[in-house]
Amino acid sequence: MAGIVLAHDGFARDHRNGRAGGILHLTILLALMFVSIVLMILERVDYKPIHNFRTITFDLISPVLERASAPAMYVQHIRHQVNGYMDLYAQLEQAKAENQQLKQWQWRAQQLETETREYRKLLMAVDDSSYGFATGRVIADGRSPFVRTALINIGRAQGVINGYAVVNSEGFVGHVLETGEHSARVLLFTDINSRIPVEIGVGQVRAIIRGDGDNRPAIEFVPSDKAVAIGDEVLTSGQDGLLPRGLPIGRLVRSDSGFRVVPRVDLNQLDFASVLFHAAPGLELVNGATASADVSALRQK
Amino acid sequence: MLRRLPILLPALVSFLVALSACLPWGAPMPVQFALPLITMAVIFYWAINQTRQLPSPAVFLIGLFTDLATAGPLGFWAFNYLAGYAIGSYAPNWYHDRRDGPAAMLFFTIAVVLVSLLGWLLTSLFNLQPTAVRPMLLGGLIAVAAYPVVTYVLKPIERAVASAVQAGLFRQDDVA
Repeated sequence: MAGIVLAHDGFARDHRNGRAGGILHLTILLALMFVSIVLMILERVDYKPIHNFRTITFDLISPVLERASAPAMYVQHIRHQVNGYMDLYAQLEQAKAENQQLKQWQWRAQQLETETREYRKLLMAVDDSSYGFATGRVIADGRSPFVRTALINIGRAQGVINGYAVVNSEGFVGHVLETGEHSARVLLFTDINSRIPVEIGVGQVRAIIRGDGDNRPAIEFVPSDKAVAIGDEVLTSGQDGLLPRGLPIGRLVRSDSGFRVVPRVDLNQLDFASVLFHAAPGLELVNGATASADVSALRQK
Repeated sequence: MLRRLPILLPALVSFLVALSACLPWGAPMPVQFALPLITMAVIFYWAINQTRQLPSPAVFLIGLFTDLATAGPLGFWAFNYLAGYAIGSYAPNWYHDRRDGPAAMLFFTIAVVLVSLLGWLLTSLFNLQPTAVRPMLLGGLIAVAAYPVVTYVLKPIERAVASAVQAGLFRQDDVA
């Protein structure tokens, strides 16, 4: 009987299908959309409580993401293995050739290192050539057309502060944007908000890499086309006073609208990343002098 | 009480999809762009089929979680998911008579296009410069192509939810 009633009653039919209706539903929906817009505006104007809320929730959700990312890491591991097996022989041959070259370079590097040390002594220059680092796992991706970030599972407790450069075995990845106790948000250099001063090729031509949401970020302010060549290595210049000089970013290519960089690092397949502990004047501006000093003390322990 | 547990499934499934969309799968770029839109496909499906079981505050929280986990602007995905939810829950009646097949694809395509355009506009305003359109289009295309799969996977769950809702209604009728 109830079934017959339901089949002929408009309200009951809607209820059975779970359809929404009514002014209350619409009011709540519009109110929540309004709240979302307000949150975006507050974030845009760097409203402090929003920043604090984000930092607190980072630490709350990062253990959840860390546990949940286990299957994703397993999938990545399997894919790496499959790719590795597919061209094992070619890789072996390439490794042998590279090993030969590297042995020669090792000898040359040792010579140069000794030479540089001597020159530094003569100049009484500050030694900034070695960096400590902490390596973490990428536990969440923020790669949409609108944002390019990664969440890693190391934070203040491991000595990470905002502004530190982030690299992996292949090259530069980005820099630390926000730091929680045990997690940090890394802004990839392809993000729309990223601007990195770089030097290109052997001529060390100065320019800026501008993230624009594309996988190959644009290069701006190249003084002249003749100053650079396609295929030139692009490195950080350290002119922002924040990043160390000489971190490899990628190779120069030409595009319709000018120059772009093909990154060395496959930013779509980041699994681990290392935060470099380096000294730079810009770090104090980003974090405040006390925060930088606290972390330095923590690392020395 | 246990018989009515499936009523929680729409929110739970949507949250789990949102969570897995944030994980570092190492997928190619267009697929990564499509992942948050797959969450939108799930929300859209529930909005069409079981709106009452996925209330708008739940959608808002799922969006907020996505914003926090992906470290994007707070409120961005919350707004977009709510927009997709609004389109689904206020879909015209003719659509509700043809919820499967090409009509579903067409309607979801319209929803994705609208939400993507809205998202592009919000991002460009947020960053005060126009963002790249191509990756957004690719992500949208993948999400539309994935919608039949989403429908196929969610259909049995939706049946369980519908049965639980109906059981609840009959019990109310009996009491009356």
